[in-house]
Amino acid sequence: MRRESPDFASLNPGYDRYHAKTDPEVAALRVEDLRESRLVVCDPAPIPLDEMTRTFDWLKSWGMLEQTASPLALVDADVQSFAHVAAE
Amino acid sequence: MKKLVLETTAPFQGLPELVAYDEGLFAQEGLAVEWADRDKGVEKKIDTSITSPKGVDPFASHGRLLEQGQADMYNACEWGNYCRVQETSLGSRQVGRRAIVSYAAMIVAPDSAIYTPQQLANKTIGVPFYFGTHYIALHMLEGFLPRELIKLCRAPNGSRYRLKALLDGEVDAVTLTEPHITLAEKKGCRILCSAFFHGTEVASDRVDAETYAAFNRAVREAVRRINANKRGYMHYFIDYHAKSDPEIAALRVEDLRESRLVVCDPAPIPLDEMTRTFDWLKSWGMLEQTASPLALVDADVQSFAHVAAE
Repeated sequence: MRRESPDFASLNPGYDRYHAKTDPEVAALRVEDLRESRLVVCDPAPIPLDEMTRTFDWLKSWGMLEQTASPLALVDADVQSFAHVAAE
Repeated sequence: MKKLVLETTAPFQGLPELVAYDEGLFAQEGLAVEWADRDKGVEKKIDTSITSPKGVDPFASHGRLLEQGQADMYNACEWGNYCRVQETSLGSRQVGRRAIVSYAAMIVAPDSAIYTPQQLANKTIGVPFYFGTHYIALHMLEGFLPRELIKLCRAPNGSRYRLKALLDGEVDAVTLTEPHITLAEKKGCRILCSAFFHGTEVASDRVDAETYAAFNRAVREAVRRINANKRGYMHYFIDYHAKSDPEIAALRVEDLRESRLVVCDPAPIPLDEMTRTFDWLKSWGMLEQTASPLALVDADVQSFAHVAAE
């Protein structure tokens, strides 16, 4: 049922090394200290229109995006729709 | 010794009370604590046709035995206790906040296409109405979604039952508590969001301020012991369920996250927080019959007992 690799650390050698050179406290962490369940990735995808609309409305409700009338003006729909289909 | 009958409590909602009992702290305060099983005979099934707490019994589990005169006190989430006390037939009142600050998470199945709370719009979320995992679902999601797009349905109390319903595909998401969050993660389920929430103690009029102060002194000592050695007490989350659940029995203490266990001294409910909680409950159509939150709290017992326990 579990989809994660049983050998997460060896397959992800950079996972806890990104900050290590500049931050000794992070360098001291072990892979076991990190929670694999906090790492979630999925295929890139177009922004669903209903979610885009709600996000736009929410941003406006906080006084942002005052100069934009539609969320569609903020997305290149052609590139978005072509590129994701072409990448499948 | 003064006899005090408490409704049963699980570690995620009552670890300090369980520790105080096991380590003789109640007895040291002159209290002979007995436990009454509030969950015996409680129905454990999903009903997707019930989509709000209206018409649901607030005493399905918490408070049931107190209302029947078979228990003196119970603890449960603060939101639910405002609603229960509104409906009490025995004059029970909240007397202060419990010691544990419970942790809950919104969970989806491993193969779910939902990755963020925003994506729960119009999806069916199983929650036990009147329990903390019902109200915390609303609180967590109303930051991400318009209220009218949050769709709840009735699910059983007891995280094990809700996790099963999720994995069986009966609902799109559920709210869980520990140790079932950890078990769900082990099964590949994903956390969408999580939060901590307070609970309160509700007492019948048989519990006087002196008795509640003694109870609080024992609980405060348990809080001190737990905070001094959280790792040493994490096994409670496994042991409590292990006899009836082999998958929980197979968990190790190292699987659990100590940062999800938060306890602090029991205390009065601050008036400003009480007022905001009351207003929020009313905004969701609850507490319609109550004009002031002060009617739901025994201010005298609350103010005396917490000072006396310090």
